[in-house]
Amino acid sequence: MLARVAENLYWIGRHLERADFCNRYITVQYFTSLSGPMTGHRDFILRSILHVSGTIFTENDLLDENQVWRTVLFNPDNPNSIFNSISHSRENARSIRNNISIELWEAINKWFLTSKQRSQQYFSSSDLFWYSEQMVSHIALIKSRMENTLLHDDVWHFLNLGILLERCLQVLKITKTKISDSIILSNSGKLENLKLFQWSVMLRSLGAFDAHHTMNKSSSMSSDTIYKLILSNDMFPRSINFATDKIHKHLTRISVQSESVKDITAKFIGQTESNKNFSSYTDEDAVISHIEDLGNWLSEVHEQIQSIFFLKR
Amino acid sequence: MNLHISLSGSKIRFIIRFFEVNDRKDVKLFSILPLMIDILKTYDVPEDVLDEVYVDCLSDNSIYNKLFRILSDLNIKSFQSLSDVAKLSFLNQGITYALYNKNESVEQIFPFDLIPRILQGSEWNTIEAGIIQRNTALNMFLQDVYNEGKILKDKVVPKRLIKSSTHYCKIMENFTPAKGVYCHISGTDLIRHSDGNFYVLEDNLRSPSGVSYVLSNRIAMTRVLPQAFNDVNIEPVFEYTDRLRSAFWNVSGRPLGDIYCVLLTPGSFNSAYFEHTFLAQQMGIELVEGRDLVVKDDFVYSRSIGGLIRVDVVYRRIDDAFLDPYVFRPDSLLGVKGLMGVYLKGNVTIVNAPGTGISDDKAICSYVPDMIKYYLNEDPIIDNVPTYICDRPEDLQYVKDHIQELVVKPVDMSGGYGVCICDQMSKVEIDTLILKIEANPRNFIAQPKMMLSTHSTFIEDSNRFEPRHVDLRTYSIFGGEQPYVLPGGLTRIALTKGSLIVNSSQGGGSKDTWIVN
Repeated sequence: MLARVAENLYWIGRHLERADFCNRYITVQYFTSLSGPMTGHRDFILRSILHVSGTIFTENDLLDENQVWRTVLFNPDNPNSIFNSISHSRENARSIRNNISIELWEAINKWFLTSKQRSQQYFSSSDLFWYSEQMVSHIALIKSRMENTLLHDDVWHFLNLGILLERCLQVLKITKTKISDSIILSNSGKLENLKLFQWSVMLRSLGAFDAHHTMNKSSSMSSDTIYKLILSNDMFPRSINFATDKIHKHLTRISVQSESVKDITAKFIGQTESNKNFSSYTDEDAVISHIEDLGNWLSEVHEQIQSIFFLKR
Repeated sequence: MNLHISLSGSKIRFIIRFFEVNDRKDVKLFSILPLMIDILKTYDVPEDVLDEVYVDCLSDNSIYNKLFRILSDLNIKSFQSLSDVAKLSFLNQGITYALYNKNESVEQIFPFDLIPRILQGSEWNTIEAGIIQRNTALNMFLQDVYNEGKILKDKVVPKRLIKSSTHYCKIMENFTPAKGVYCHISGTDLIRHSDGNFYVLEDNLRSPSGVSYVLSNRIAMTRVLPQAFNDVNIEPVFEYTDRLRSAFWNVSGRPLGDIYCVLLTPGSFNSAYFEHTFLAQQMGIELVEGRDLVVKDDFVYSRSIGGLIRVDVVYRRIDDAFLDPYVFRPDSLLGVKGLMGVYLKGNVTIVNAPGTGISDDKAICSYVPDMIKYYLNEDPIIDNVPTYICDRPEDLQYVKDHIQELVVKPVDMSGGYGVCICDQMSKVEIDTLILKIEANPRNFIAQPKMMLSTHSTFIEDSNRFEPRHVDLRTYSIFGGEQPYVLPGGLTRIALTKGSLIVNSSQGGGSKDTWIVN
């Protein structure tokens, strides 16, 4: 496989997953703010949305909802808008479309065309739910076609490497943001109900709410139950442990197993073990520090993948 | 004056004939009516133009009548719906081309018309033979001019014309590509004149494009009008990519199994990028950009995740000028440094060979009938459109004297660019054009205004069927065991009323072309 093709595949996966997480985060944040304890914190939620979607803003900016949607969903000049993630994913697919199935290409292209059409129409908060549902359907179709219409060879491995690495980085980013949000909103613990609410929002933003409740039928939500699920669980697909385990498997199955690939996979085992052994879930500072360590390590993994496979120039 | 058809005169004869034919075949008249009536309604066939549908429907063995019988359930509304389905299918598949404006490139669907162009098998056999004859002679010509130059010494083709062509490639002198094939893929553009005969308008021997639309149009037609394919014996077109890949294998000179072929594209922003990806996928070969290839120790390699892989055949879809910055344009970022050196050592095959563009030169193209006589000792099966070469003083004088009857073209441009249809120009424009021709007569040819045939075409703006001018780009492959011509080819339509320019970049569309036996 061409090095350029591998790189394009990897970035299709990364942009796809980024759009998926961003879409879920925006929808969950916004709709959970309309009722319950977050009513009255609309600007705070909009800022949280702008922050997670990577948009630059100042605390003094006056926030207009429709303007926020335009910025985070569609603005072509905002490198972190969902539309830009979709466009990048599609452009990467277009560059190597002879390497993926026609079915997968069509699914990605339809996703782009829908989003482009949406970006040219008037959009208000009442359109947000249906827009989000459309995105969910498109992304589900794309992932299904990745699984079912491709050979599970290098093409599939690089796509999945991109998806899984981006997933880890997004999980860490959202978790860190929500910890920070909950600290601010709870007024350093004085408003405990807001903190609990933020935890449930975090779980929903990661698509982990149902999994958490299934696993913890007889115990209430706590930092221990939440961070264990998000960081260390080996059955939940959006947990760091599960995703890094998958990354390791994909790396070891790529057809080219040079010494540098073996090095990176060996280091991987050490890091995943260290994550599994982390136990200070009730200590928020320790969790934040652990999240930062994981983030730095995964950024290094990205750089190693890049230098080993893509920079054959 | 137009032959406005308002259910009188020849139109009545047309309808009566249509019903007679169908009566004999015991088809219920009422079930035939909807689409036919819609097609015939205010159908204006311009005078002195051959409308292929209209003329065919007047004959006893009309093939279009059979098609309309098949489509008997349709009226114009349902036809419009089918057309929309086809368009959506093209859009979702990304079957587009890029149109450049000042600021950006915009992806467009190549407009597609659902009424196919139909040619009889017997008629096609003659075209096919003519295409093979012409391209055989062109391959011999290229081998000759870059080596012995016999045709030049015998003054059949003027040497000055060859050496002054912008596409002449000096580095190709005294080199013959593998198996003597220069033009592995040729696109020969044909038009049908009002005398009913096909003529060659021009040759495309560098990187003829459009074949992916032929294959995609056929897929769309089978999806939208499956019943037509059940009832009519239509020549298939999908053999093309297998034939092309076989030709690559054959000219590679390497054992099957070891051969590594790549399609070299300028990248995803190129106007024909869809075609590049489509062909690479259909043939199962790697689609590469210049930056994916590297020359090392007199071989070309692709940069893979596991290291370098030797390349045997480069099907390039970039112009000569960008192929190798060491030899051609030094500022090219699209090509591969040192590629020509490897090629001239015989360690890689480039498809089509560099330097084939001299035959695209419209002045040289006019000598193809002479080449056919010279190399094959045969009369051309398909004639050229008569051409006046402005570089010849007597032709230049004729062109100046009769310019309003002529179409003037630059010799080295394609895509319909630079074409001047003089009877549509103002006096000031014509005077300016004459000055340009006089300043550089080598750069221009002129041809009589050939009235391309018309074909019934659904026009969305008026929501009705109207005649539009069409041409036919044929595709032939050399280098395989036998020369191959894709049955049918790409029928291109000038969608603007009265326009003779069929190119996609200038408002053209396409139709599926059926060869019916």
